[in-house]
Amino acid sequence: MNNRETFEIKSDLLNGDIVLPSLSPRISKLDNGIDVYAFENKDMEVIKLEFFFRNAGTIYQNKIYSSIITNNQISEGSSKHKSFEIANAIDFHGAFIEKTVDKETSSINFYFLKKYQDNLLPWFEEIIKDAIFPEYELNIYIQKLKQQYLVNQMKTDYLSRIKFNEMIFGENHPFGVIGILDDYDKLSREDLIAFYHKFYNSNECSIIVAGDINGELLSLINKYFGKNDWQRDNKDNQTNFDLKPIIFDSIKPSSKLINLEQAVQASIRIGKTTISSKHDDFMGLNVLNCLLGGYFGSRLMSNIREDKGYTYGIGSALYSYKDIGMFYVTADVKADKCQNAIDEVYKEIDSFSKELVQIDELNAVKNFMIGSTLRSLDGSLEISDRFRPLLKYGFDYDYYQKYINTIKTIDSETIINLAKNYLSKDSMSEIRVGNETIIQ
Amino acid sequence: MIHYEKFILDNGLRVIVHKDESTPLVAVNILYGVGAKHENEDKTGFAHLFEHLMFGGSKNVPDFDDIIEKIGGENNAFTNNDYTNYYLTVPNNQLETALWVESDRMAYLNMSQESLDVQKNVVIEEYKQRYLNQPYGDVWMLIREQAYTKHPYRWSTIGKDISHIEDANLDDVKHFYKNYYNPNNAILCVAGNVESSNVKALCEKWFSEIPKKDIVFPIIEKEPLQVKPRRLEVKRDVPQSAIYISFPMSSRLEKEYYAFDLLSDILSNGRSSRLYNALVKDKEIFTEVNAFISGDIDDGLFMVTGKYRENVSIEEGEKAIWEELRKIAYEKIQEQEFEKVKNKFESTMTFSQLKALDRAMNLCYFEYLGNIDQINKEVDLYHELDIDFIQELAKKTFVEEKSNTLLYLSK
Repeated sequence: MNNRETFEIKSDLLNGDIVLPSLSPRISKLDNGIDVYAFENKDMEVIKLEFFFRNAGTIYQNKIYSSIITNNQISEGSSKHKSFEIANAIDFHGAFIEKTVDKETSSINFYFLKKYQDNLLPWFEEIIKDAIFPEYELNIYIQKLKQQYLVNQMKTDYLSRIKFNEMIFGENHPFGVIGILDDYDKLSREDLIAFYHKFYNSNECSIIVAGDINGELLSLINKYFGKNDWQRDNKDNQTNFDLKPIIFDSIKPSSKLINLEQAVQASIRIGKTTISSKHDDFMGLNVLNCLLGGYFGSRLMSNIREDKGYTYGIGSALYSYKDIGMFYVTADVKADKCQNAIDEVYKEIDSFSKELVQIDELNAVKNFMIGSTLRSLDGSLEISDRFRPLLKYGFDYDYYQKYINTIKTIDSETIINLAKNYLSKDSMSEIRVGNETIIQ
Repeated sequence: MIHYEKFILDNGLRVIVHKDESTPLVAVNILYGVGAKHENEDKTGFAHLFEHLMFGGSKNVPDFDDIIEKIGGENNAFTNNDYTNYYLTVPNNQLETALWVESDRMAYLNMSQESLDVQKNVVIEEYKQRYLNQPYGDVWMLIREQAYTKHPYRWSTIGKDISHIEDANLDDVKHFYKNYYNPNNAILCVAGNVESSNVKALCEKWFSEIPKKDIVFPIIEKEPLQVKPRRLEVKRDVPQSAIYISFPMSSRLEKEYYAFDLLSDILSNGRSSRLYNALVKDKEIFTEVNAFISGDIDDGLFMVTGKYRENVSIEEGEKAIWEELRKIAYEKIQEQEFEKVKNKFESTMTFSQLKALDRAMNLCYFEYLGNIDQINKEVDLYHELDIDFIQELAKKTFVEEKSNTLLYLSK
């Protein structure tokens, strides 16, 4: 018989050596110099093929929305095929296209079954190299975006997110600027073409491929993407893009309230700009963030959800761009408890600069973080996703191993110092969005 | 092909083992055969509220999340109208810890007034966050009430009304636990680099002491055949008007289910699908349009939805949707188009089962359906369908007297 009362949990994550799957890709070069990073996994019959464009994010666009719309519209027509024909070929072979844009970069990801690789690669070539951005398709998409825009204006969480960025980066700064409805009408097909020529070409591209990769796939990639026919030297490109490094001004913390009368809850966001992942303290700050609001058992969840019941979910996040980072706490809370929730958030943030974290709590977080790192690297598709930031920021391939080591060795003294240096209450900006008569 | 072994403990707990040597993690999934459809109509939202309470600790595991997180694991759960599903992943060598905590909350859950009060608050905030504080947030509640008159699918998992959650009391909680959370109403799957003999020994060790119990299931009324169209118009503070048309469809295990799924894919899966090209692009009536099946185990719904462009009349949009529905029923579907949706299904299925945890969830689900073997027959079942069969079905289904139309109008 077993004894439930005396069952002993033996976790060896902190003592044993954690061997992470390798993040060293097989690297090769296409004939035109494009780097290809390959992560193999023969068990599956699927492939993810990513075209990563290192400067196609929003910060270098010279017109609002052009980055995100170029990315979206890239598969909407080529010189040879109409939007429908391209979509039909992709759908017929059961492939999926995932398009992503962040502030700095963009990606076009193709997911497909290996057995269709021969048929699909020529279509991918058209999408990536030969997009023509038909006016008609663009108008259809803009209609949709304009309506989405109006819906978003009614969402407390959406407004708190974008207005918060504006507060901490500045309203005219590339990281903080917010588009308005009229900006959609100012955008033309030519703007997309200019952006496409500038940022979607072979000099700007890296390829990441994961899954059941064979030599044949790699030679197909070279065949369709390895020529010097998509450098786009920009001779015809009249548009000027200002590519000088982005400067971050120091902005005073502020607070803001946006009134949304019909809101049933209030969305809050509290935070600041901070160090980027290049900084030596970043990994440690990640541990502190996790203690505060990065997992279910975190201080914020325990206090504000599980103890007070003010919210369905509250969390904090630490996010890094190339040269700057961002920290914030976010939640949708009971409207009439908005102030109480904010007070509790500050109390929790503050407590880390005042008291040493107990060893039990710290160890729990360490175990959780090591476990979630393992989970995030489980499978070649996941590994290729985790690889992207390494490529983006030029980190060594043993980045995650170093991360694990930092987690394992960090102590309570380091945490309290990090809290004092980076999370002082006075450095935070705060926004609340909701019905002002209730939340004030 | 997903390989598995299955055995049943003396107390009725069904255990499935799926071996996946490629992962350093092990997934443990437990499905309890109780969902919102088993609720009393005056006490809706209860199955989901109870799911929250399952994280409140048990006799020997004071804090469930705490232990799972301490061993580097992650866990969560969801409730739908048919069942409640708990899942976790932990490093491979922590399988026994996972089974210890799961068995402890199956047998000895702590149920206190305090924990109930807090979780009621949390769930009420979830209700507001997902359904009230979102534009179009109440759409599914309206659709369910319109399309079902008898069957308990007429309420959402979150509940009909916040007052039902507010009124839940500790006696209800205890009774619900006693009745439904028993080994003979559960299906457990362990997926990872494990040996089934070892899994069996560990399951015997931790679960076999929990007694089998008689479970009282409510009688679930079958939804009567719909013979008249239903229409509902609501006005809401949203920027664009929307239309939702639902048709009663088959249950999960019937051949028709797969046919309905393919019909919905032809209409709206992917950029090359019919509704998008006809109604968003050619006719410029909607900005978004969709067709999908609700995916329920009992008789479900076939849905067609659209969000209107500015200055388009509601009638015009409705007419255009019906035109497409008539077309799919009466104009011969081309082989190429049919093959396309079958290929798409195969690919979707493959991508949705890449992780051991996904496979564990699916194995439990198919076992709950009463036919675990079917997990490996799905692709064939789709491939065996022919065009005539699905078009006959479309003819029978897409008729006015079986339609439920919800017009969700911008104020």
